[in-house]
Amino acid sequence: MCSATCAIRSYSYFKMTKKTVKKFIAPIISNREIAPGYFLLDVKMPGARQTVVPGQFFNIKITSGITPLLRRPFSAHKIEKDAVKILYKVVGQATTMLRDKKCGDTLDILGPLGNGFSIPAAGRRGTAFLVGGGHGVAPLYALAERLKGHTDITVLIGGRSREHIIGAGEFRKLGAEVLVATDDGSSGHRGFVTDILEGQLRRIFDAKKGGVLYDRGYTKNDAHTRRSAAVYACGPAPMLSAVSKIAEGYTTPCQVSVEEYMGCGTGICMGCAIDTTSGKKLVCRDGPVFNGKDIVWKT
Amino acid sequence: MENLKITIGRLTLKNPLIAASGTFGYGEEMARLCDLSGLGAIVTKTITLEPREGNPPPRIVETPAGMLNSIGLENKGLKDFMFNKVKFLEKIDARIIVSIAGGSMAEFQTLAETVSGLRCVAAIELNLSCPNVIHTLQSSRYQLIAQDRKATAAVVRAVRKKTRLTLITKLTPNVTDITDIGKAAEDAGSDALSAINTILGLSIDIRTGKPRLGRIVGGLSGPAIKPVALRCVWQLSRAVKIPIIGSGGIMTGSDALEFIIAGCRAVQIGTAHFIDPEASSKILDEIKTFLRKNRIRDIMSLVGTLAGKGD
Ligand SMILES: Cc1cc2nc3c(=O)[nH]c(=O)nc-3n(C[C@H](O)[C@H](O)[C@H](O)COP(=O)(O)OP(=O)(O)OC[C@H]3O[C@@H](n4cnc5c(N)ncnc54)[C@H](O)[C@@H]3O)c2cc1C
Ligand SMILES: Cc1cc2nc3c(=O)[nH]c(=O)nc-3n(C[C@H](O)[C@H](O)[C@H](O)COP(=O)(O)O)c2cc1C
Ligand code: FES
Repeated sequence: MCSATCAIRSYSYFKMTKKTVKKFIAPIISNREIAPGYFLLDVKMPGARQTVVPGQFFNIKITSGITPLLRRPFSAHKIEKDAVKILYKVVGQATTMLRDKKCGDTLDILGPLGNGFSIPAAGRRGTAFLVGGGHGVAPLYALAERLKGHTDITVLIGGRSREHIIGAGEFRKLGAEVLVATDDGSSGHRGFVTDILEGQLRRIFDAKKGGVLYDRGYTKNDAHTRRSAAVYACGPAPMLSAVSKIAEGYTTPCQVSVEEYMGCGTGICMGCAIDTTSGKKLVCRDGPVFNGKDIVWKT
Repeated sequence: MENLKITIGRLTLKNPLIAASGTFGYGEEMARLCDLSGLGAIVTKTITLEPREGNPPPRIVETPAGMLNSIGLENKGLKDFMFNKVKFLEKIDARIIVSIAGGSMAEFQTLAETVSGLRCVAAIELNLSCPNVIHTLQSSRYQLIAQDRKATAAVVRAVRKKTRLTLITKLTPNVTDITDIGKAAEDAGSDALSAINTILGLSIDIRTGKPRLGRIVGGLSGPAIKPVALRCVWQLSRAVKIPIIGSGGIMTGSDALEFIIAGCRAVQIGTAHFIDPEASSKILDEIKTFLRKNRIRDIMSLVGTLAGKGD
C-alpha cells in the first residue's frame, strides 16, 4: 500500500482492533422434538434477519461448566426478525444436554460465524436444487427462504428411512417441490438422493442440448426464461462429494456446506482445516460453504 | 491498586497473563473477538522457517474436561510472518513473544536472528515441545527436543548466540524428570521456562475401532491437564532459579493463582480462549478481586508461596 493511503490504513486498523464478532447470551424461546431424535430450538437474537446469512453458523456453549468443554457448531435453520431457529440431531453429550434445555434457560452463543451461501442476483430465473441429508437440511431452509421468489426450488432430501426425512412439509409450505430418497424405500425413491439429482440435471441438460426447457409456469412465449440450474448441498461428506461430482459433470454451479470438528469456530486453532485445490482452508473461517469443485474430496 | 507488574528476564509485563502459543493466532485474528489491551503479552502461533501444511483431519477431538489436538504446527512460515503479521503486531499495546520451532540448528538460529530484528518483538519462546511433529537435529530424529537434555541445551545455546531478547524455553511434560530438562535449558542460557506444553494422548471411536484423530495421537490440553501442569511447575520452581511461566488448563482466576502459588511468575492461557475469547480479561478481574480481598499489594509476593512444601 502506498503512503498516500496511510491515514486510511491506520483508521482501518483501528477498526480492526475493535471487537466485531458478537457473543451473546440468548434466552430460549422454545425447544421441542419435531421428529424422533431431531429437535427445533428457538432462541432470541435481536436483529437476526439483518445480520445472519443462510449457511452461517453459531458456536454454542451448552453449559457453563467444563463438560462438555468446547462450544458446538450449529447452522442457522430459520432466520427471523429477532430470533433464530436451530434444527439439531441428538448425537452425543452436548446435544443430549441441549435437548434438556427449556424455555427461559439461556445459551452462550458466538456468531454468526463463517461465510454463508452466495445467493444469485435477483432476476435470474432457474431452478435451485437444494440437496440435504440428515441434519444437513438445517441450513437449506434458511437458504430456501432467501431464494424464494427468485428461482424455482426443488429440495432433495435423503435418509435411511422415512423417519430420517426431516423438514419435507416445511419446504412444501414454502412452495418448493420436494423429492425424497430413502435407503430402504420406505418413502420416495429407493436409493440415494444423488440418483434423483443426476436425473434432474440430465433432464435440464438434455433439454438445453435438444431444445428449450421452460421454467415452471412459463410457456415458449417467454423464451428468455430458458432454465438454468444451481445446486446447494449440506450433509455427510460422501454425499457432498457425490453431489459435487454430479454437478460438475453437468457444468452446474454447486455450493456445499461442510462439517469438520471445531475447536474454536473463529479461525484461531486451525483445527478445522480441509484440503482444497488451493491448499488448506479453514471450515469455520473460509467456509463452511465452499464451491464443491474447490474441495479435494477423499471419497 | 494492586501491583500486577512482573518481570521475566529483561521483559516487563503489566500483568502476568499471557496468551499461549497456538491459541491466539497472531493477535490480529483475535482482535475481532476480544479486547487485546488487557493481556500482559501474546505468544504467537509457532512459526517455522518454511510454511507447514499441518496434519490430516480430524485435528481436534474433545475428551473429558479437555481436548486433543494434532494441528502439526500449520503456519505460513517466517517470510509470511515478516510481511503479513508484523504490521498488526506493531500496532498493539500487548508485549509480543514470538514462538519459533526449527527443523535444524541453523533454522532455529535464522528464525531467532530474524525476529530479533523486529521492534515489536519483546521475547522469543522456543517451542521444543510440540508433540505433533518430528524434528531432525544434528542427524538425530526427535519426537520432542525437550525430551533430551543435550538437544535442549544445544538449541538454547545456539539461539542464545543469535539474540539478546529474553529467551523462554517451552518444556514438555512427556518426560521422566522435567527438572532435568529445565536445568539444562537454564545452564545453556535460557532466561525463563514455559511449562507445560500438551500431554501426548489418544482417543478411540469404538464404533469404527479407529483413532479419532487423523494422526492417531495428539496433544491433550484444557482442565484435564491442570494437576499435571501444577506438579511440573512446582518441581521446576524448586530446581531452577530462572522464572517459570505456567500453563495447562487455566480457565479461571483461581486456576491462575494456583500456578502462581506453585511458583510461576506468569501464566499462559490457552484452550480457554477457544471457549471464551475474552477469557483472559475475566481471569485478570478474578485475580484482582482475590488480591484485593486478601490485601495482597503485589502479585510477586504470592509467587512460590506454597505452604507445607515438604522436605
Ligand atoms: C459448521 C457446522 C454446522 C453444523 N450444523 C448443525 C446443525 O445445524 N444441526 C445439527 O444437528 N448439527 C450440526 N452440526 C454438527 C454438530 O456440531 C454436532 O452434531 C455436535 O457438535 C455434536 O455434539 P455432541 O457433543 O452431541 O456429540 P459428540 O459426542 O461430541 O460426537 C458425536 C458426533 O458428532 C460429531 N461432532 C462432534 N463434535 C463436533 C464438532 N465440534 N464439529 C463437528 N462435528 C462434531 C461427530 O461426527 C461425532 O462422531 C454442525 C457442524 C458444523 C461443523
Ligand atoms: C489447538 C492448539 C494449538 C497449539 N499450538 C501450539 C503451538 O503452535 N506452539 C506451542 O508452543 N504450543 C501450542 N499449543 C500448546 C498451548 O500453547 C499450551 O501450552 C497448552 O495447550 C496447555 O495450555 P491450556 O491447557 O491452557 O491450553 C497448542 C495448543 C492447542 C490446544
Ligand atoms: S475451528 Fe478453530 S480454526 Fe476453525
